[in-house]
Amino acid sequence: MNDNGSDKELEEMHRREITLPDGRYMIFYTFGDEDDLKNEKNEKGEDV
Amino acid sequence: MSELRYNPLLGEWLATATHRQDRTFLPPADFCPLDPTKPGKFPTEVPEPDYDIVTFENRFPSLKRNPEPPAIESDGIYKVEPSLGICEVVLYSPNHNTTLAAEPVERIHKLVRVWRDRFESLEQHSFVKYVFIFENKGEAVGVTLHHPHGQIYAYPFVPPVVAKELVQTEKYFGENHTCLLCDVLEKELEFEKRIVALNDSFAAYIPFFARYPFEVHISPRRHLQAFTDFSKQEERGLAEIMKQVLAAFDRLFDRSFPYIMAIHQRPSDGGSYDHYHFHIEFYPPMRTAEKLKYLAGSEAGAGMFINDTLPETTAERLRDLVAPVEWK
Repeated sequence: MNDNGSDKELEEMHRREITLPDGRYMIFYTFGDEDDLKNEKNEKGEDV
Repeated sequence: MSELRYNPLLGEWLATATHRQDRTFLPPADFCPLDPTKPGKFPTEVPEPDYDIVTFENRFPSLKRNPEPPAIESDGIYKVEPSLGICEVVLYSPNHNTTLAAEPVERIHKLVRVWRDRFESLEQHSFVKYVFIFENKGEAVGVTLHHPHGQIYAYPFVPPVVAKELVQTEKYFGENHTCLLCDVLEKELEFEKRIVALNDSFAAYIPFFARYPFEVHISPRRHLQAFTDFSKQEERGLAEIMKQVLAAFDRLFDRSFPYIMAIHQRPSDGGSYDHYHFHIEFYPPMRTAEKLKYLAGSEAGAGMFINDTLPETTAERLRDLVAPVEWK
């Protein structure tokens, strides 16, 4: 029997919703520290 | 054009959705509409690549938030309703060339959290009576896009399969004052031979009454009705046992294993469902490495399934292929 090996917490979940041109919604889910995610995007030269 | 029509013979609703005839059908990998749009390439349905998991309303839905009026009016025993509801697509990864089985357990853990979030969000709509999370995997079960994804249908009624389970579990609870699924689980744990995988929070087994050769059910060991009842440990436990079962499926015939995955939770209609028990059912169509199980005369026409195998034997085969899960 396995004992749920890890007690590691899931990283914080972030959701960002956009509206597509035809009116449908789309929700992006990312996990991790929000500052780290922003820094990652900055390094790629993307808008945050 | 879509609408809901009532079948008075079976007491069930079905949807017509004629626009779905035009949906994208098995495109080449370079033209997958579910891949993130790449600079200078054709625009796909997903404009951004930076996500862990993304969900969006289906471009070819069977149910819509703002459905058009039905093409035909109700007439006596022939009832028609607008196809009110929501159909979402859930992309498991930006990577086209993967499957849930091939992904690390950490991504399945994230997916469990997203499923919980979608369940909580969708059941807030007053017209939603049932949130059904599922996956069709592989061409053998009719998949038209290979990008790893599942779907969510938010129905304006409780669908027939779950409705039947609710009747059975309520009746059993009334007669025995215990949960039917808790008692099934106790039987399976006691018998052991149909258990496929086990952890502190969940059990995976091919039940005594399996209709398909490799029909695995995953049930929480605690009496829970929905994702919203899960503790953090139970979210991890579900991710872990899913990883074990899906990886064992792929090892079985040394190929990406097709299946339908159905997540059964309590309805979202405000009723009391203490007698119900969350569980996941997998319906894999393969009965051998080369042969498919078809729904033929007895199954489709009479509703009696014929299983060409014994669950005690197939569970042993799968159990032998279950490996420990590595958390990073």
